Amino acid sequence: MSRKNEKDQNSVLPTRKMRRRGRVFAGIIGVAFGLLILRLGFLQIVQGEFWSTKAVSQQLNDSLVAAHRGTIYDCNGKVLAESMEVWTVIMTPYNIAQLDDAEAVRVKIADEVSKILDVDRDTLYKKTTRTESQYEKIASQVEYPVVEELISWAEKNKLSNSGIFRVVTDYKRTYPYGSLASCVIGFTGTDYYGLYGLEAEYNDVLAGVAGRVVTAQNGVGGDMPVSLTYEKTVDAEDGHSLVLTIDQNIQHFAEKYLEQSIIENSVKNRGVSIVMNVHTGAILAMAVKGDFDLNDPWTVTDPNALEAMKLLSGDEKSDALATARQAQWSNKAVSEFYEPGSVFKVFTSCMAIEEGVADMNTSFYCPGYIEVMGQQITCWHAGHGMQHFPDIISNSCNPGFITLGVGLGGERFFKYFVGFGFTEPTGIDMLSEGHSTTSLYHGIDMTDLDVATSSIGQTFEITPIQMATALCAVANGGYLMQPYVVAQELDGNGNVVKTTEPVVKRQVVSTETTKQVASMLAAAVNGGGSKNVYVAGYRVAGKSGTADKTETRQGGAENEVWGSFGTFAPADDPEIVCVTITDTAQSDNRWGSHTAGPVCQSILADTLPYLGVEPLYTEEELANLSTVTPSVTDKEVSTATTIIANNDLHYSIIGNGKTVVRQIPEAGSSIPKDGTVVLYTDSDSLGSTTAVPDFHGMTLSQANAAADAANLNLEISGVGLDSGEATVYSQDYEVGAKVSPGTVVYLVFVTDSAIA
Amino acid sequence: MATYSNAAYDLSLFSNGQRGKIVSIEENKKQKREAKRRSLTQTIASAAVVAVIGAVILAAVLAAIISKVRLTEMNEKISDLDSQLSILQSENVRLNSELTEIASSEQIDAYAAKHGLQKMENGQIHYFSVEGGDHVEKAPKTEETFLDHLRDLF
Repeated sequence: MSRKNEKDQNSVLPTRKMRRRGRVFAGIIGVAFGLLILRLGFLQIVQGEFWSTKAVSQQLNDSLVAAHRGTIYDCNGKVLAESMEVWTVIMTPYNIAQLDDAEAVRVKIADEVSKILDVDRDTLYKKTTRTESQYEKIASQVEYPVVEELISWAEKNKLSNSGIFRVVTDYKRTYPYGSLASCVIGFTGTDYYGLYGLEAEYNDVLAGVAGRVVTAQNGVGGDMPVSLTYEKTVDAEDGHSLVLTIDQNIQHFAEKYLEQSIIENSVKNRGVSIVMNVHTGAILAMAVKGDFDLNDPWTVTDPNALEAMKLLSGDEKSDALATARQAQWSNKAVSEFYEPGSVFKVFTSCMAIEEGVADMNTSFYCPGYIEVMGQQITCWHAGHGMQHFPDIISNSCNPGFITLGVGLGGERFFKYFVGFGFTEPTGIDMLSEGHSTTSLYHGIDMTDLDVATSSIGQTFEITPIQMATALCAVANGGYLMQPYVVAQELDGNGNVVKTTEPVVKRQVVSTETTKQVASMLAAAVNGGGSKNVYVAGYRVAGKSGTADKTETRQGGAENEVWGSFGTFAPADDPEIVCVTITDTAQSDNRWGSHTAGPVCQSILADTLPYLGVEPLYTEEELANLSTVTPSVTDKEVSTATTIIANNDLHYSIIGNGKTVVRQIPEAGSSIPKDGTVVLYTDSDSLGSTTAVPDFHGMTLSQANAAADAANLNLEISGVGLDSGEATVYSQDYEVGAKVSPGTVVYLVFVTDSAIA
Repeated sequence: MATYSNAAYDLSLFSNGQRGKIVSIEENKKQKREAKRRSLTQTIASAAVVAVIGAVILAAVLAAIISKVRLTEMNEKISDLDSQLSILQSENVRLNSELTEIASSEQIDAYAAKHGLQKMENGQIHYFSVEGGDHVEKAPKTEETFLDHLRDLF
């Protein structure tokens, strides 16, 4: 090779110096990378978990998705409680502060948005001034029309994209029927958790399981742009729904008539009515009046409590408010106690017949009192004289039943007392069922005096549901049923996941015994002391009860009583039981037959036809039935009067025209036999009205005279009408109401005879 | 014995003074053209394959992008509709609740009483028994149409 080539080749080869420098440089690079890799390894492996947790918590937003709470339906599928979506309005005052005209916007928001959201103006303004805050809740449970209004307002005021307002979805519980069955259904709190009633008892079933949404968030906590969206969802599991045994219509009947009695008799401590299916134990209605609106449970409705609170202040007032709320939320039908009084004589009768202590022909003598172990126990009556078994029921004779009780003895009496379920809770699927500590428990230790007072329903307490359940046993042939309110449980798709089947706890007495007692109770309604529950066309069995609230035991004052009535119908083939209790009526007549009897009568009169139970009228009842008003409008007066006369009705002509322009009552409506049809013959006379008199307390003849004077027709129901004893208990038109002449006013008569 | 060396033989030492005929190799133009043509064809074919594959890949990528965009659009639409559905369901519940309140039994009773209406008396309800359950009775035809005749033929 030539030297030149050799030289050229040597010139491109690295020199020793260069090689050394290269090695040093590579070494430095190697060390640096090595350190970096070690550091990376340390961060990723040793501290990996720590840093990834921090990153996740910073980059991801984990929020709960509320589960849809289950719906509560009545037995016909009507919605009694349901959840609906509502919105919480959040304001970001920080974004207001970034605006040029921030103060003007604050004032505008305070003035106008406060009206839209129905919040306090000054409180809202104060929140707008928290300029560092990114989150201020200004309204919750807002419905969509209000949200729409807020969005329109923001658009109109060019604040839509300012980031000042945003809405967050939430759920709200709504109760379409307001206060209907309020003590049964209960309500939820702000955290959507059941607090009372079925909402609490079945909270686990209704609540479902919340879901989760994990989304990526930016540095200020907002959602990432769509292109960088990250979202992982765990679906919420919706709650199950409940189908109740409660029938909304029967519940309405019970609440309507119970409320009427509460008002008319000035009942101080609320009242209860229970309607139950005797064969299954299903509760068809459970009315507690002195209740509250489920959509606003925190507002106290008791006028007495409100009046008392006006005089209080500070802690005293807060305590009184809490007590008043608890009182109205309490389900009196299952949680509170009362002395059954003479209604208990139904069970004493069953015991006596079952044990052969007495039969239908057994005689009793009542001189007005009876002596037991040296103690004199009086009858409510001065002395009934000689009676047979059916008579002591009809007369509710204390000496008669005390004789039966003493004849049974403590051991046998207590055996049936336990058998009818009076010593244990019924087990109904409702919150806070009471178990009285003052029930009998002495069993064989009962003395004759203990039995004597107990046999007439005094000296022990039970709950209304215990009474209704025991009465069902008498009505259905002797079988004690398990009462229940929830018939079915449905999943989120409406499939039935659980059904409640009727449960027979035990047979307490024989069917033959119950039939005998039922016939005696029916006789008492038809002509005896229980006639206030008489319903034309139906055989009703029932017994009234009135029990003193003694000062020492129940904190009652003198003359304070529980008035009650227990009924079942039809007596020969019972379908339903109806029990009503009024606690401390303040009317002149406080007997259970007066305060509770008419309630049961009205409930049965509406419920039996509603359930399709066909009435069977006697000849006498048929003769007293109303007739239908014939149509005579637009007919000549002479023709109209002939038609009316042919229907055994009377007529009254108002005006001077030749043709009937209007008739009262209207064609097709009910009019009592012998009633008067008012015929208007010119338009001038159409405006005439008459005032409805106050019929309360009038006898039948007095009521007829008053109706004649006011040119009104009367439709009457009730009992004792032939005897002249009955007086008007209620009227459907208010006193003084202006109505057209000829209008039919419906009056209910009761007897005021004081049967205990 | 054979020996091995890398000394080249001077072949001219073995020739008898004759020089070999130098034969010129003529280029085979035809073959060359053929080879060129083949080479070109191959190149074109390769290019075409690459182009096709490239186009397919591009199309697939484009399709993926388009479908992703469509999917995103549809998801947004679904989300919007879900939101609307939620609002409408909420409104349905609210309005049903209002309707129930207006049409409650108390309201109906009060309205009826105000207008002088009365509830039907129990005695005005007539009960009758139907034996044998439900049945349908078809009214007999009075005139037969052409279609009826045709039907009867068959």
